[in-house]
Amino acid sequence: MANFIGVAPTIPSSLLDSHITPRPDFTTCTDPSNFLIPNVTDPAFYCRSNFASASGDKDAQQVVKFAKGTTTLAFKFNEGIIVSVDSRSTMGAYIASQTVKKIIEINPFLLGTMAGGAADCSFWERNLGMQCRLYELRNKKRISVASASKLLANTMNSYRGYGLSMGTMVTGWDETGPQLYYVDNDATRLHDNLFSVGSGSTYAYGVLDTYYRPDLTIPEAIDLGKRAIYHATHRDAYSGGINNLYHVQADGWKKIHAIDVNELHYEFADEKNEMVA
Amino acid sequence: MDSIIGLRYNGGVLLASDTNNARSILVYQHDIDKISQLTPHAMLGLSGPNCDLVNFSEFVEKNLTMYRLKNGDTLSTSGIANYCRSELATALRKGPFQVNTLLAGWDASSKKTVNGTTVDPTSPGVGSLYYIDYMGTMSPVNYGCQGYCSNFVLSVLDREWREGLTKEEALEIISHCEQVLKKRFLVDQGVFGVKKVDKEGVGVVRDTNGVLVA
Repeated sequence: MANFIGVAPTIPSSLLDSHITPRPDFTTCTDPSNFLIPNVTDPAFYCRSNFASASGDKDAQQVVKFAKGTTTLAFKFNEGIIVSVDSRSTMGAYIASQTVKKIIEINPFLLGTMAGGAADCSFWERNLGMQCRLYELRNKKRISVASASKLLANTMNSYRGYGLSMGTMVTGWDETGPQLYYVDNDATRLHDNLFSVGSGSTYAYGVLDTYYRPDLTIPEAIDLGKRAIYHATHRDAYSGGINNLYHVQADGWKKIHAIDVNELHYEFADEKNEMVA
Repeated sequence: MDSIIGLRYNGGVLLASDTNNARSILVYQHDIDKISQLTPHAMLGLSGPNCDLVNFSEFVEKNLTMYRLKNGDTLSTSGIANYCRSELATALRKGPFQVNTLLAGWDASSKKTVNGTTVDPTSPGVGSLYYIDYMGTMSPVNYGCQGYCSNFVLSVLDREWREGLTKEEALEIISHCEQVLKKRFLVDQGVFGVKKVDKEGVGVVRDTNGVLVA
């Protein structure tokens, strides 16, 4: 994002009236949901073609290549919410990092997950954290998960077509109990009991949908979250590293474990061998 | 891949919609409600990107509420239809909404004609259905649909719809449409949610999990 530094946010007034796409007010950067925009005729097109996160080799001509490729999942059950993710970040075939924290601690009662462009996720979820804190200070109470996710969806909506890349789950515990929302860069916002996001999500869904029950015990739920991520990392080349897992209850979230999926591989292999023996 | 089907019957209108929300090859949710209530006697079935569905229906609903608070009376169905059309026509050049809709509403039969047919003043009121697409096309229809499903079910509706259907007959036609989609359409549409609007207002006939509501 270094390219944006030093770009004066002055845009010809003729462009301000442009009727092609509605854009955020970019004459100021004080608004929490606002961001400097490159000083060109069509900023949306410029962002989309130079900074967009594309799968495969489609970003080969781009100066900025995104770190991406992920498996993340979260599900509600009777004892709270499990959030489980991998930790690999890739740039094409290159593994950029094996130790990414893909669960973002927005505040002690709210968690966000990271899938898609790493920069977009961490920036906008940090931005969301600030908006949630401002809400708390203004209203003297914690923001609901519904409102928090709507804030993020509204931000995504105001940058639609700019090539942002973000697939996130916003989870937490509020006055209405455990809540789970899915928000992505198309400003889609969904409310459900179970989501998985990222390139490995289809594999995770396979395991998750097969073994999910609302009445899982806490150890069973933790095991399911762990296994779904392991199986996704096994089949999806863009997922791997460490499995980070959080459990959300009425008193906030708690980090349960961070296990190398390589260890899980041998643990589960031994388990199967014992079953056969 | 959204499918919205609507048809008029004697004294009301039925709207049915699929309940899937998909992105790429993945279905994220199976119980989404794509029919939103605008006023006690009007509902809007929408097809398009999820954020536009939510933003457009909330925008229209809130503005209709403001109209009622300002003027002490709700807009007629044709009024709502013309309002939606004009908002979509404006949006076409600005880009905030890309939605295709079916608007269903019920009016007490104070008007002399609805959809070109003369209204009997003793009738149980009149349901009317409007086809409105993202380009700002608006047309009052007796039955209609939005999305790929039109390729399959328009013929069924052409064949089976007639003036003066009962609600039960209308529901039967909806289930024929679903059967055709299940058998011939590549994409599984899942369960269809069905809502009605009549003298008693908007109500759920079959919820987004496919459960019939008495």
